[in-house]
Amino acid sequence: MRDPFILRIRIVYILIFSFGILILGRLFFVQVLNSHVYREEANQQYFVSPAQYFDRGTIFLKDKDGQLVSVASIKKGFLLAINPTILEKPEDAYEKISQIIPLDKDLFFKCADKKDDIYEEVASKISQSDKEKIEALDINGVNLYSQNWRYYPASNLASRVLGFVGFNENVIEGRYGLEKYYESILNKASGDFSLNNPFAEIIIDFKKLISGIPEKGDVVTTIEPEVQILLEKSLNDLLEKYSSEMAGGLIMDPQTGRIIAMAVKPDFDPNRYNEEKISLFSNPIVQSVFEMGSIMKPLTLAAALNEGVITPQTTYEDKGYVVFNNKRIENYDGKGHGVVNMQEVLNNSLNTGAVFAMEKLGKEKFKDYIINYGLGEKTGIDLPDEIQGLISNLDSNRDVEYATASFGQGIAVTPIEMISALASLANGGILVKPFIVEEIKNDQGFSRKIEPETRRQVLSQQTSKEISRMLSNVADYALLGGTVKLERYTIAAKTGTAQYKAEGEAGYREGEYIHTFFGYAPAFNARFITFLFLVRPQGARYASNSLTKPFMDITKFLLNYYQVPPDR
Amino acid sequence: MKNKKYDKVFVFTVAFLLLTGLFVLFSASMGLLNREGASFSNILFKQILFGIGQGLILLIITSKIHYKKWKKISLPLFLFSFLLTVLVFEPHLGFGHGGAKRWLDFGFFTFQPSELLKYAFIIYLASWLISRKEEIKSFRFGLLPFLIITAFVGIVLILQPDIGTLGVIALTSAAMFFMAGGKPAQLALIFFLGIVLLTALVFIKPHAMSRITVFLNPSTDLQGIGYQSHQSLIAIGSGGLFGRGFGMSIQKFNYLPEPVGDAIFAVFAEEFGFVGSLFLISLFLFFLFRGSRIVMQARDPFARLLGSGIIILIVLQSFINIGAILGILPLTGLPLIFISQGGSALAMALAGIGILFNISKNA
Repeated sequence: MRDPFILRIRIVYILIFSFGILILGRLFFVQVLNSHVYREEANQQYFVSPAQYFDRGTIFLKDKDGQLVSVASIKKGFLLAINPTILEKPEDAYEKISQIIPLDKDLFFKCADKKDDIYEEVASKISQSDKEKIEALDINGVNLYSQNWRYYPASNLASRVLGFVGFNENVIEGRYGLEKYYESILNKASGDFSLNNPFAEIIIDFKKLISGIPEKGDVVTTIEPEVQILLEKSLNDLLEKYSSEMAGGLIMDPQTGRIIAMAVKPDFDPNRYNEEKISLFSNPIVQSVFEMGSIMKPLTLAAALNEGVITPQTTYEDKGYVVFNNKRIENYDGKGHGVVNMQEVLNNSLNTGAVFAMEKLGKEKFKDYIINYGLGEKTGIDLPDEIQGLISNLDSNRDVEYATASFGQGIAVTPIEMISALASLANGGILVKPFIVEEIKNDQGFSRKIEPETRRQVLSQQTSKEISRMLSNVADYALLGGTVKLERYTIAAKTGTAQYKAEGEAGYREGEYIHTFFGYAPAFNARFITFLFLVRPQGARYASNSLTKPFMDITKFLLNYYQVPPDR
Repeated sequence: MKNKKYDKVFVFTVAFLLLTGLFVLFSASMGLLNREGASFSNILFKQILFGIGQGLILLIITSKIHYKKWKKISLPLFLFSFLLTVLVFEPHLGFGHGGAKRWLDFGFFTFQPSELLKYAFIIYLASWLISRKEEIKSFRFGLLPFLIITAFVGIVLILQPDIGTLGVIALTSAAMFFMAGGKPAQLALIFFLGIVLLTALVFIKPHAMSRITVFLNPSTDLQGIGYQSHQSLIAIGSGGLFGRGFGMSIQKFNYLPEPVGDAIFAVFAEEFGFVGSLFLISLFLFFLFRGSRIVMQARDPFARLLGSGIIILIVLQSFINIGAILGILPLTGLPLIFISQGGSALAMALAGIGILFNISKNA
């Protein structure tokens, strides 16, 4: 081996070989001697809040021109976590950080004391600029992680309809409203899976391959933002003006069951749900029942008209009261009006007249109609935890229960049940299924339209026309003495003032009422049906005083905003 | 020595490396179905078809060609591959990826001509150095022409830019120059020039600058330019002695860029630990050792030089890749031969190994 060539080859190979050994040495250093350091660092970086992976579909309102307005979306920011094992001077750190962002002092020091933990969240929803300021402090053991959270840009708007996303046990999910009802579609990543198990991701891969992809995406509601804003403003005014316990409203397309606006005041800011009263989260439109009062009378009369047992011209003698089972039922004014026809019954809201129509119909038939109107039956609207009305009074055979039910006392129904029943007066006698989401925009880029559904025919076309005519007569001549009549539009309307009985109480409370109001326009080709209610208003005895003006304002706005052509 | 057989041990070593590589790629790509542009079955399929399949065909062809024939076609082959590499700048054919223009698009397949250029250059250099014999030791007829040829290749690669390939070619050719009889003083001059060039490049190219900055100070900007090095080290270190197990890397999901490409060693080291790393490095070292035996048993100087060039090129690329991942060298973008996903590099390496097979039989 004297060959210099071989020698030189050897030198080169030995050099490369040494490089290999050097690599092995370095590997030994990294993987064996210092492995724990990197393990620690790895664990720390995997130990991020699941909030980083939170992802959720958007909820949109849709204006009349088809423009989408986001009312529930994702906001990105940062959360602050400390690593108590390496945070040296918690007092210092608290001092500096609390000058940049609000920091809960007790929480901070409680976390800082957990010397065995490497990850303790102390603040969240931090903006990019604050994040940079905190990072610039360069404090060892203070870490920022990206975080996504649910954000409601319109704050209180439609909050009782939207609900919110929050913790349920340890899971982040939609808790109320549409967030709850459409959880499976909106929930893209709740962020509650463990990333420390990479096989989870592998299994997700295979699951997706096998089972197809579950529908995930955005939800487009039927709610029109301008109308919703107007309705909420009206309700807020009512709440304030009459110091009411609650003010609610509902605007629907009576032909399809499309909800255009829905609100109940007081409501809450879903961005800060943890500071709000739990009682504000539910949606009384579908989750509470009320005795509806005289707005029931058109339903009673329509049923009797539909069976042909009365006509608008049918007369009876109003003595001012009737007696059943030893109970005396009076008109609101306690007076008798003599011989009057059915139109007068609506115009003067005569309880005796409603009872007369019910009796003409017969108890059995009356009950059939109540059931047919869908009172005491869930409407099937796409909102969670809907309840059904209480009509069990009609299970007894006592005449007085039927008599009171005919003018809206003794049976209690949800506002959504009531508006669907009333819509059958307006739309040719059809019971529609109200709905609030019209489109799912899924992540695959397709959109699925939700078609309106009807439930059944309740009244004939003829009856619908007849009762609409009678109700427009009410609006033109009786409502506030005929002062709110619109020259160019026909409007059908009826007020109701029911005695108030708190849930669970046996008797009605003296001097406490529920005001109700419904109306639709144009009366013979209705585009909008509006229902308003006011619980325990102060300073107004009758719904005609409290609710007529808000109803007329809303209706005029709708006719103008949707450019409905005049019908007279 | 006629009718010698192919070096069986070497053939088995190569086969073993190929299988190991496929196994590692399989493990590293487990679970990556979700990631954009990297489908699990697609990665393996492409590797088998374009890397191994294409490579084995080339290997069979080159192992049948008598190695001496390469000397005759070395110049045309070099010029051809040089032209191909220049074509990358032709806007209709070349396309880029991640800031560099390195690929040729022929519609039905894409090809990285600098991979061909590496081997063509080695073949040409081997035959040129052999033809010079003792003149190598002179400046005018040895070092100067050597530097000029290398500079041509260098300029093209700097323009791409593919500094990693340039580095490996420069090192390999310097080694070949030395083996062919270059004087230590000349070698020192080559290294000096190399360092000057590298320094100049670092200041011209911000990309290169950031890599050097990270290399010199590994804790620089861990969320930015230092991210890849830092995350690679976390992967390797957290693998520990025995690793997390087959397919179980966590780093590959959200932390490592190119987990089946340049950074595959990090994923491998995380999944198989120091034991796995030791095994893989040993395999490369055995490949180097067995290759050196073939070269030294060859009588023909051309065979020795050519064979050495190929072995050094393959091993050096792989070690530079690992060294960069480990933070002992700046990041380069060189593949880990046999392991990384990437058709052209593996196919060309196998073609080169075919030449080695032939040398083991004929020289």
